[in-house]
Amino acid sequence: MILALDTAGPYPVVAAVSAEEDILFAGSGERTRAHAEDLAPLLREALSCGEPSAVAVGRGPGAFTGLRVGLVAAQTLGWAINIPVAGVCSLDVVAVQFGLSDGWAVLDARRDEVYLAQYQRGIRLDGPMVLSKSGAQERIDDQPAVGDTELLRQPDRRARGGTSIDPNALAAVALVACQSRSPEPPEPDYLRSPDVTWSAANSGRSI
Amino acid sequence: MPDEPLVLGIETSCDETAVGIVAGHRLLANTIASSADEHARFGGIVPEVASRAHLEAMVPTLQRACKTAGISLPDLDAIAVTAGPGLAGALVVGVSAAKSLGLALGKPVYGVNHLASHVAVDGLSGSPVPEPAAALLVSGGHSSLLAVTDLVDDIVPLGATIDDAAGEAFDKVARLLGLPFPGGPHIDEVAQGGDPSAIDFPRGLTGGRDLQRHRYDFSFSGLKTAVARWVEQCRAEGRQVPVADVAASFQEAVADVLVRKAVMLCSEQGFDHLILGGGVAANSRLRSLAEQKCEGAGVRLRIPAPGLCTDNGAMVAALGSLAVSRGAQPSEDDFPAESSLPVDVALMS
Repeated sequence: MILALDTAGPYPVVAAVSAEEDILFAGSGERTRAHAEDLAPLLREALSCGEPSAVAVGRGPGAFTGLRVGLVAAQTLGWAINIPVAGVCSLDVVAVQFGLSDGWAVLDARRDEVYLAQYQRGIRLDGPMVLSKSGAQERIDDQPAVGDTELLRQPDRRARGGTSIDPNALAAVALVACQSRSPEPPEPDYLRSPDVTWSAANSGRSI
Repeated sequence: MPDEPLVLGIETSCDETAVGIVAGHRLLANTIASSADEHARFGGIVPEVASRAHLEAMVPTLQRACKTAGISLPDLDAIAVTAGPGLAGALVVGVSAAKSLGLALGKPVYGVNHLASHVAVDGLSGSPVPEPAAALLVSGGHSSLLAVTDLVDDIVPLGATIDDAAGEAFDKVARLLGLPFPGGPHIDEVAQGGDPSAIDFPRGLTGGRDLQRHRYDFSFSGLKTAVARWVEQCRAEGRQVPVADVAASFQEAVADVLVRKAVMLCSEQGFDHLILGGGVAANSRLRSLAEQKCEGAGVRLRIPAPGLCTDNGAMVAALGSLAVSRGAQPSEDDFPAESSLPVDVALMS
């Protein structure tokens, strides 16, 4: 069985899929900003379906803190039971989820920006990248786009809740990643440097 | 219950990615990867930089700790992890790793309090932690006096800083004197060549009504300002700042207040033991002054080795091991990381 998890979006998403491509478990959290709380119960349910032979994990792009929850969980699990861990691009899952063949997958990146990647016949051609909304509009032009596309039409608004990753789509992408001879590493695709400002640095001392 | 529960502890509350392994009161591994060097150029901890470093260091640090301890994962009785207090984004990395490890191995997970862990680490020094005891915890984020009746479920905070933490004052004064971050070890070193009585810096909340209202509380903000004014005055008069004397006199003022109030607490509340913990407990003057004053007051002083005073995973494992041996309930799968977890919550439910 392959265990798949993604915490790049607003909710943690977990799937377990058999080698015969049967979905054994598919579940999502229901609270935003609660990845550290809600991922583990989903993982327990998924692991009750069988012994995983590989793990696939979303490497973003997405909100940094949530993203790390899934990545560190996958890395630690893979190390503990000695199974391979593959990274998957969270935008690839969005593309599969919306049945995108040619065009763009888009996710809210906040701060008036979006994450996006371009696909041709379902294969990622370019990206992931982070662009201003207007820059993204220019790149996409009149090509098809899926995901948080309302952001592009209404640049002054945030996506309503944002696109939720579908665990079934995640399972499909995970199967491909775990069968790949050169999978992506289970490491974060932040696409942005950490914000470091002097005021933050000066008040950041803790514990 | 096993006599000497084998517990792996994970600590990521600030800038150290730390994993410790203990068997009861025996320390088997204390492995630390620090991102302090990455923060030094910013003059303080940058939370996002710390969190990124935790993710990168987590599995390698786990590996090194297990190798050092010479254990295999299935031998573990439990996993323990710092659930708070600390930097929110940093804490969740450790908490998520611990939960995943627990699920992978089918072992219970204990989310534990960082401050209680700083006291529990004393149990690794050869004999169990005395209970009851008073504890003085001093670090970059905390300056607290605690009454510890039961490490797992009865810790009462009696005093705390009302402004800056002691370690924060060390960092700020170090910056004033042009010393690198983190300030504690650098001030300690420079102070060795200075006169601690050269300048009479103020001792906050130690007299009159302040002492009545804030009997066991601390204040270091006024001290920091006094040092800044003194240094400014010196520069304005065109004199060279006597860095060693300023460092020694500042350090003396901090150690004096901390020790004075801790010993006062022991005498007034009838504690025979005082436990020192936290990063600032690695300061040489604080240690020697505490030894001297405790001896005078008939209080038995316990200070962990310097490497166990600063943030580490062994202290988390030590508290976890205590929780296992006392039959405490493990934490639920969905326990959160809490950046401002109060000190009286030793274990997460």
